[in-house]
Amino acid sequence: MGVMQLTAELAMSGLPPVDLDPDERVAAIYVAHYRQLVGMATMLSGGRAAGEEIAQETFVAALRQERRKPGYLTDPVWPWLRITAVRLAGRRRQRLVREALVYRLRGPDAGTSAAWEVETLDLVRALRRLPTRMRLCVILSHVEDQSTASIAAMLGCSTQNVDAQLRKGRARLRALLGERYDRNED
Amino acid sequence: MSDYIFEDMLTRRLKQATVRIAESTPLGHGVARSVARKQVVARRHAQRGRVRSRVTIAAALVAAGALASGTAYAGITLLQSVTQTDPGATAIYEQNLGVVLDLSQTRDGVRLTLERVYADVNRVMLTYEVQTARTGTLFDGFATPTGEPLVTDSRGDVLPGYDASFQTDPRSNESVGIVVYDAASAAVNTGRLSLNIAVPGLRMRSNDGGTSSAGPFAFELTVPMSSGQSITVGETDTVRGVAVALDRVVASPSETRIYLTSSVGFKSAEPYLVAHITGPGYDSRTAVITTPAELVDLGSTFRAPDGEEVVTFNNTLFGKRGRFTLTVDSIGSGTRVVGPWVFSFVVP
Repeated sequence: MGVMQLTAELAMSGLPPVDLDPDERVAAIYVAHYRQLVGMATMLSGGRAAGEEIAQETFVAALRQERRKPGYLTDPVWPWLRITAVRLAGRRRQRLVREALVYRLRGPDAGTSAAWEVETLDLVRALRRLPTRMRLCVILSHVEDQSTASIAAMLGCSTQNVDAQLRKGRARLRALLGERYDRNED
Repeated sequence: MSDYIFEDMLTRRLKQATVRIAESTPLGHGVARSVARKQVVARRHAQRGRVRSRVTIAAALVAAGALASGTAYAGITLLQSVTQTDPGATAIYEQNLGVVLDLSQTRDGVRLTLERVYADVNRVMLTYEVQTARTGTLFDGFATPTGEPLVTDSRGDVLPGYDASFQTDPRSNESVGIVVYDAASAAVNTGRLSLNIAVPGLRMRSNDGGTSSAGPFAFELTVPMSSGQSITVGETDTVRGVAVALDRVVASPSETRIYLTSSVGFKSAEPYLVAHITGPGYDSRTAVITTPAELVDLGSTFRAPDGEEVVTFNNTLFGKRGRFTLTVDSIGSGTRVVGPWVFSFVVP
């Protein structure tokens, strides 16, 4: 069964069948979700290069799990991808390494300015200036529509802490972006 | 603008940016860098004809990423990057146990440099760099049957390889890679390991798809071999009629290995062989996938020449003391056989 065919079936009926070869199964999930995951991971990490690396690592983890225990990934698969990416993004040291790797390979933010609009660039740059946990809280709340309790469970902290991080994060983003947003307000 | 309106706008803009980033992400690039590379790793194992089977490809991928940083970041990046999947290797570089070689040879306009080597009773790790003066030509792997340099010890025995990866800097055409070999059977003389490294040729690929070869290269070197702790256990545990025996545990700075046999016999590929070690201040499971209940080990399994099944743990217990517990959760390849088989051993 080809990946393209699987992708079409995936869109129709969720995950590929459990009895499919684990490699093919993950490949199909990859095709269906990779770009979406890069988008979210980029926001989580504050840089596309790091976001791509996080997405790659997430699928490596998925592959490892599927090979160990066929059928490990269950429908819906997105929450698993999201929590894995969140955990990877939360490891600051590793994120810095990823950025160093990509800096060495492509230079800072290589390839981003050509593909992104100015507003996206500004937004990502503003996100990058937030502390890691604060950024994770903001993205999980505003992009992934996760509840405070859910975010607290993912990050292993209290709901009060998440609320505080969200308050501070919004305030900082407003300070960084507010003037521009006021100017461009619809 | 009120807080409410700002929050609403922030949500909308963040979601829009996420979608735009996703739309601007090339899918093919990503596939090539993870799933396809896994297939390359699998193909290499098939070519070797060895019984070793990787449980995880993460180490190879991360090692490739680490080494992609090239010489400028070699020390820091290699050290920090392998942390993600190979804490044993990290410990090695933190302790500066590896030896900087910087041995270079140039053939046919291509320079091969052996950057660094590390050896202990479990494994040998060798990092290298390939630079070419040929415009539009990139390193495409070692022209050997195994896809790795042929490494032999002082007896002339070939060290089995089990990990190999490289990555190329598209700006400079420099390639940096790592090869890892099994050192369990290597001949050691007074704590030093003499190695002959033979590369019949480097496969080079030009932008127009043409291929060529550069070489041969040959290096001789002697490296200090870090010692390890070998604990003979010799215990058998039987669960529902299935006996599993733990023969011994070998802990070195780079990884810990356990040697198992079973009454049902291990198959050549053991996808269901899952085990972990716990003890005072130690848990071999280092990677958390979703919840603390889903800790996973980073390592591999392979068949030793004497038929024992070997499980490696990258999070080594080397240097730790006390009573440890090995739990084999399941075994089997075609059919999953669930335990747990539990063993206890003491590291003096």
